[in-house]
Amino acid sequence: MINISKKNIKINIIPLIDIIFLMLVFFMLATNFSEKKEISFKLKTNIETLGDNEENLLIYIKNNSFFINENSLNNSDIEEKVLSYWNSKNYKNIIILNDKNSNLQKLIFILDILKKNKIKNVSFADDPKL
Amino acid sequence: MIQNFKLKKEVNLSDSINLIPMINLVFLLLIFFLLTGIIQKREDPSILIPESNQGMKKDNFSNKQTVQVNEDGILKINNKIIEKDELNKLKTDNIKILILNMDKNIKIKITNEIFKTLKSAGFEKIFINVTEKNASN
Repeated sequence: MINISKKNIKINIIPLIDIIFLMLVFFMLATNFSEKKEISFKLKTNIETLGDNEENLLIYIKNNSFFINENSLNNSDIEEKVLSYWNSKNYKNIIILNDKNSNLQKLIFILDILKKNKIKNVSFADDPKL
Repeated sequence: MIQNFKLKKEVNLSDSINLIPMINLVFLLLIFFLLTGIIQKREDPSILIPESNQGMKKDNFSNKQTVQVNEDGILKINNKIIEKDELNKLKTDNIKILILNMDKNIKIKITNEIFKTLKSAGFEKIFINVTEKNASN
């Protein structure tokens, strides 16, 4: 009868480490920590029905720059200026009109400012003149 | 001298290095990734998601569909290019929530055209994926 003493028995842990490492690499590559966030848009009726009247404050996006009444707005003071225009008259809506060259990030930038200041009646459309 | 040499040769690597602390750490890392990570489909890396600090985290909707729109306005569903007219079919497919993965450099003009198509397809509200805006921007 073969007598094996307990001291001589060794468990080889290298395969275990291999598998754990493989699992670790898999989870490191496959998992995603970035939280998805969304902004919602209500799809309204045609903007043309709102028209250009004294109740509407018009913000133009031309070549990725912002304008109100032909005055250019810098990114640094845009919030302050938009609010001063908004509070200067009894405006009820804000309409953002864009040209064909401006990109979505600019629209989201101005919408963020308006949402932050709890201005809700905001619409946007292409300006047929631009 | 000869005896010493023989002894060194027989030493196993696992005997000389204590692997237990390393295994502990690897286990901890594994548990961390298992518990905190979310396994999901990778988005199209060519689409640069717009930045916003007003984005809201939404619950997991049922009956949702994500449409990817690249910088040139090409629409894709599940990495398959679709025509704009095919958006009309989404409403008949019982899709209630439509999430748009739009490139931040897409022209607003193209965005408005897509919105008009979706409105005519019967969608009242849509969502656009955004990423958290960095403080430096």
